Amino acid sequence: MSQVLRKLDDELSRELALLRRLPPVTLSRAAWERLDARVRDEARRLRWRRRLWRPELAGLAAALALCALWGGALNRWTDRAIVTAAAAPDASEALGDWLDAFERSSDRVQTLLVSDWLDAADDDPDRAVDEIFEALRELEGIGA
Amino acid sequence: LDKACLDELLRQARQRNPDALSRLVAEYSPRVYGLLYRLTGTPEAAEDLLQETFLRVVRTIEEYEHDGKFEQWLFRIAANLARDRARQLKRRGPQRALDDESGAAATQGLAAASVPAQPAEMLLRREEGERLAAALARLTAPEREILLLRHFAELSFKEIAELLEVPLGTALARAHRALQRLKEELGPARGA
Repeated sequence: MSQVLRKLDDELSRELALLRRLPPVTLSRAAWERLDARVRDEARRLRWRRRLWRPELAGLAAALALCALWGGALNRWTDRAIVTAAAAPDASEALGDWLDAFERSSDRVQTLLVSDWLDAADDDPDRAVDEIFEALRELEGIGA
Repeated sequence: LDKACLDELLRQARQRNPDALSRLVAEYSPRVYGLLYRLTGTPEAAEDLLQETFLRVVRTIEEYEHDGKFEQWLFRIAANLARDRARQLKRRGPQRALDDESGAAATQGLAAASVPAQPAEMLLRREEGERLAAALARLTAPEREILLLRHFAELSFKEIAELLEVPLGTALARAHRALQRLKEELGPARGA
């Protein structure tokens, strides 16, 4: 830092002591507790999600989600919850979009896609997840 | 927080340890709230942004590489959120522009936030503080921002320059102009 800048820095820092006279503002106890609770909840949620995000569990969750779709046993929100819990942050949104697209697609397309993936999930869960995303891209093409 | 303590807290925070994150909130929220309150002018907006600031810390702490500049990183998040909010308000309409809003609201908000007056000396101090806050609220957003960052974030001007992504000379000149304007706004009774 040049001498001129250092001098200006010193001078400004001294003059800024003026701001110490600002009246104090305090976060209310209730607001602080809300903040603390949100931060703790978010930390737990992300921790839990990270623990869940393993390839084998993701494959299982994907298979479960497909079964749920196929059988119609769970409603749409439950499907999303399963997928969201198991998938990576960016993937969960993509799968949510995929579910919407899947629901809009024809019976014939659904039958073809689900039977293929369930077979693949039995043999190789990782491959099943890859295929889901491959199919997602195809479905986006169909919808376009 | 000393360096060793902060290092350990950040190590645990990266693993999303709720207690460590809670401790960071307890340690830094008063100063971040002070900054956000003075930038936005309302306790409600400041609380919202404070919450968003710390949620972003929780979500992105893994990306933060600890190089002894945690405070700079934290206050950058807060300042950017306040700027985003100011931009949104401006887009909604000129009558809600940041300067006008925070100017009026900061003055109103101060009355509620101030400590109840005790006789003579406290009353004087309170009046002086309120005048100062009102004068600060009349500065432009960039002028106010740089003074508040120096005051609440306790960052050096070099660090503020990095945070605002401007040359050091620009940051110093802006702070100098802002202080001059603040003194003008306070008027001759400032030293009374």
